[in-house]
Amino acid sequence: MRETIIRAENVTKNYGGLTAVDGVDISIHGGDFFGFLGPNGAGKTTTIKMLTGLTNISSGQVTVFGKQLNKNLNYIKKRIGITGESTNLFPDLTVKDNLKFKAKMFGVRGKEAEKRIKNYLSEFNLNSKTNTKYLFLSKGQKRIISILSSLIHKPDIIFLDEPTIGLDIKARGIVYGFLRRLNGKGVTVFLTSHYFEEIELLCSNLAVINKGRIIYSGKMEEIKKLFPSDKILAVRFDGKPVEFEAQRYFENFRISGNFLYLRNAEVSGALEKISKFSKETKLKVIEVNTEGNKLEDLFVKLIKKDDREK
Amino acid sequence: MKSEIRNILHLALKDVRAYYFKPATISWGILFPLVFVLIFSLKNPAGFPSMLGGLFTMAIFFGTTSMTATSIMLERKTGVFNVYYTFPISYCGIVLGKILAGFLFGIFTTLSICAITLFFVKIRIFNAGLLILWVILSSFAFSSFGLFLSLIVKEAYDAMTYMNLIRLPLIFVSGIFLPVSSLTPTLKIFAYLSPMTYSVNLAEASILNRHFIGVSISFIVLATVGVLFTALAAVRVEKLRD
Ligand SMILES: Nc1ncnc2c1ncn2[C@@H]1O[C@H](COP(=O)(O)OP(=O)(O)OP(=O)(O)O)[C@@H](O)[C@H]1O
Ligand SMILES: [Mg+2]
Repeated sequence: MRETIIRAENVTKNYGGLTAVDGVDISIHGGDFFGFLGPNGAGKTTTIKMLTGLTNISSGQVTVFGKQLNKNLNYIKKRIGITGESTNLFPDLTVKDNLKFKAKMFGVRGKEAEKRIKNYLSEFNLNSKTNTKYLFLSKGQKRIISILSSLIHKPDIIFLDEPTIGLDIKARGIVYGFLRRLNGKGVTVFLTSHYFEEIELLCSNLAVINKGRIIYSGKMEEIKKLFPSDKILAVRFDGKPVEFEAQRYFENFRISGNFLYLRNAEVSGALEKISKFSKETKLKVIEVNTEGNKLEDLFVKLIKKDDREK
Repeated sequence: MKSEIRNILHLALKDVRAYYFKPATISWGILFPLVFVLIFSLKNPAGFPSMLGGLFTMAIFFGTTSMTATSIMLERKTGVFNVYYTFPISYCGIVLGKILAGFLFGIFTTLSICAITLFFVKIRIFNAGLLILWVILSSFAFSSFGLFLSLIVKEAYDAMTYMNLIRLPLIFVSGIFLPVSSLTPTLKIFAYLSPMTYSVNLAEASILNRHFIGVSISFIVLATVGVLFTALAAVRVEKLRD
């Protein structure tokens, strides 16, 4: 049996009269890739804050690494990494100074810190940005660096609050690949997202939260079995894709206007192909959506099922 | 404990690196007091030495408070302030790191302004040791005072404006341009409530051997102000977490 890293029991957060998180139970084991899915305002960020000691818990219990959270805060902080919704880096400092500062705050110093910074940056081909002010990085670069910065002390678990929001397909692919490798090395990942396809692609376990309550939690394979359906990936370009060019990349597809629809495509492979296709045809990708298995549909199904059983 | 102290230092040095050369820090923290020193040295060269205590106090006061206001304003605006809560450091440690950055800046600007002034104006400092103690204690007191003020504003981008709302009247009542003895009885009450008054008093005691409040009382008041606002700022930092 793997170690339980996080156990939250009946955790609640009240803001004045509002109950943002309402009696949530979560347990996460070492090596899990845990997805936390929910619409805007569902309570995802608030839950992360409570699990990491960034906000007080109104009622309930949280233990992290077997220790009570509020009594062992410094010990726990050294073992977790957090990339929250707001920036965690200083715009006025260079990438290197930012990373060095964070390393030092966790007791990683000198040569060891330098080595880690260099390795991380080269993994993303960002060495050329070492001495660039954080302010002057692109949105995607900022996101990558901020994820890297929360890994600088080699935490056992990393919390990522919507890490791919605002990133283009390629940057998302890079982040996905990185998180997978990280998880492969044994780091537990806690990821929030609005995007079902993202959670589906990456996570081994998931919980769905709505209006502060967990409405589903379990293993990814199980939830997939509950709602089998054809999945369609809809890609909108800034022009009309050409049939015979698309044939070279995709199998099960249909073109309509500026849209390319892919049926039952494996998401990560498809994203890569779309990116190549877009490069070759010089068609820009405007957006990618999944249809037929959207988060909203899933909620509706989950809630209906919940009602029937009651 | 050791790692807490180290983290306080790292935090302060990070602020030094990030904010010492920001326009708001330079203009309010160095230029503003320097201009006053120049004006008074040219306007009334004979009476200038008697103004030094007040002018140097103003330099410390504006140096320290501008530094803390700038860093807090920028960090709360971008949201990066929240990153401090993810570090293994106490609330008091965060506050002490911030205060240390303002403290060092205050000492640095004040000593520079002192040096420039004393290079052009020939006067004998009555007690240099006391002067050093005055710089250290006042920097600590004003830095923590300034930090607390920047933490209580609701709209973080307003910190500097808000700070001036408090700083400018304090200059008026604290015996910098007008001796406290010349104030009306009501204003005198404010003078005795202002921590700057005690700092001016100490500065004049060390430079001119002139004081109207006891030297040890001034020390006690400044130290108390420093400790009190450090504690209040730590409480505020804990509150801001939610
Ligand atoms: N500091 C706060 N004070 C008052 N209410 C808050 C505070 N933080 C969050 N809330 C409220 O708590 C609820 C849950 O917010 P939370 O940020 O956890 O949602 P979320 O699932 O992360 O949403 P999103 O996907 O938009 O990030 C919301 O109704 C929000 O308005
Ligand atoms: Mg959120």
